[in-house]
Amino acid sequence: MTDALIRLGGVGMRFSVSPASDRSFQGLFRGLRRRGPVRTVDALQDVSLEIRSGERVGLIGPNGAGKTTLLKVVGGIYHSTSGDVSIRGLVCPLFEFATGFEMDLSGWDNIRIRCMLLGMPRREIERKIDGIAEFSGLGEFLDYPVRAYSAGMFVRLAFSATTAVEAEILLLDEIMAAGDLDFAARAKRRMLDMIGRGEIVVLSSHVLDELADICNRIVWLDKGQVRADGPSREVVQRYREAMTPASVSVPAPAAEAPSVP
Amino acid sequence: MAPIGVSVALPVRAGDGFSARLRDVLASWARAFRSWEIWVHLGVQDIKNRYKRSLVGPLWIAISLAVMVAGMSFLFGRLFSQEGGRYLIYLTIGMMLWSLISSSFTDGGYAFLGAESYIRQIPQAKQIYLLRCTVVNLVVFSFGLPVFVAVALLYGQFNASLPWALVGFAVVVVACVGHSAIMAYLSVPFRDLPPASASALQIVYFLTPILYPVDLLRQRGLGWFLHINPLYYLLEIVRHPILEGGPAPAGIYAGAVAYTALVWVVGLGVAAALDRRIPALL
Repeated sequence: MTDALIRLGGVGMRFSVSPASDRSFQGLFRGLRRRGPVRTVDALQDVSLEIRSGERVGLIGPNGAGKTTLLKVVGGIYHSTSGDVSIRGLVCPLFEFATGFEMDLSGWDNIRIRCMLLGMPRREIERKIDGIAEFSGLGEFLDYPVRAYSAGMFVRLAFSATTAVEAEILLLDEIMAAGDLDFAARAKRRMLDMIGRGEIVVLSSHVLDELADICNRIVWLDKGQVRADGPSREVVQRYREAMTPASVSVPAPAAEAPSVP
Repeated sequence: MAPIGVSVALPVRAGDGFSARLRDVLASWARAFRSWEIWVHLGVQDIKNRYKRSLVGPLWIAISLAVMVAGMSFLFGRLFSQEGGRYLIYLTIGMMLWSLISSSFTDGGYAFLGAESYIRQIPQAKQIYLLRCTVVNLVVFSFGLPVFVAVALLYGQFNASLPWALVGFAVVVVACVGHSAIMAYLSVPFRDLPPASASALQIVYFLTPILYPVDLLRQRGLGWFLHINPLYYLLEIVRHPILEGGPAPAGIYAGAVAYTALVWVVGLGVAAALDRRIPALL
């Protein structure tokens, strides 16, 4: 058993929102003369969570609730603007599946690069690469440049390589929406395997039943804050009730901004 | 006028001071150097990929350098009334170093922009992406070496000064990594920078003694310009030992090292200011 741990204490992620034109040279010079009011958005606000070994945590919430931002803070992509973040264990993120590839290189080369970037030593990569290829089920497509791949094939490649890294913490953002049924079933088995080894899995999804199936704990985020945190079925049930058409809460458009490039 | 374009969300500056952020950047550089396998691999893949469908592949770099140097030495040799062999070597070294230095600016500018999809999802030291382009540029440089060796052998310019030239070259490489670091970070918030720097370099190219001899500037009363052009020092630190034998003048070393140190101070400062905002800015 590993002793992976995610501990967030009052974490906040505040973005200042400014028009893009302020960032060009033109904007720089204009900025010298005039500074517009700075608008800020709290993508995360006072989020406190503790996730321990063997927990599989689902993140739910409407678009713009802060799910991706939270994953990126835990994954070390974003540096939180307030609060304490402490992470123990090797983190392996899988956030965007159709990006992060060398389009002109083959599937094989892309597996190598992805694994290297995630910290796997060369020797280990060569030892595992056949297993990764087999799990991906991509067969002879691996010999082709990945620019020829479909969205589902990118997911297969990225998921197979990412989960081959012996990570203690796996972070997945909306992965269940892609990939065919056969692959989805294998992916689910692999995630359950990882959890069995005492690793932490945190995943976000809008497919509530699927999520409740995999996770033993669900965190419901709303406008950057934790609205509920507890056993899967219970939280999903409450979320469903709250989300019935009569009481749909429309997220503020600005809250969406951080997740948009 | 109303602002045009989409809004951009940036993390506000956290409570940490500049020194904490500088420490993070230094730690990030250390991690990047430890992961040398990654950027060497990525750089070599880039080179392989670039010449994959080409018949003679990287030989093109040597061919185009040879053709250019031969043509130019014929033309400019007459224009500047230079004696053949020595000028040919001068030109070859100058051209090779210039393309290394100028690509450290231009390619450096695209180092993070091109690695956007990695930076947005993989927690790695960002510096590996700019070291990747340093690897590419060094490999391209090395493909030109046969031309230099051929020219040097032809005109018997090989002497005991080679170690001095290598010392100089090491300084040039360190400066080039620094250029790329500044450009990589600044180009993310300022997307106009890579094209702007490319045209600025075009001007500097003509102001730097590469095609014409150093003395020409002095004769025309523009000698002072050499002293404010840092790239002159970077060229001379390698070129002088090869052409004259022995070390370059102390002033050249002082200038090149001081400039390189300045580049790194700026590079680290820029990184400390921007590093945490890069993922959101991309």
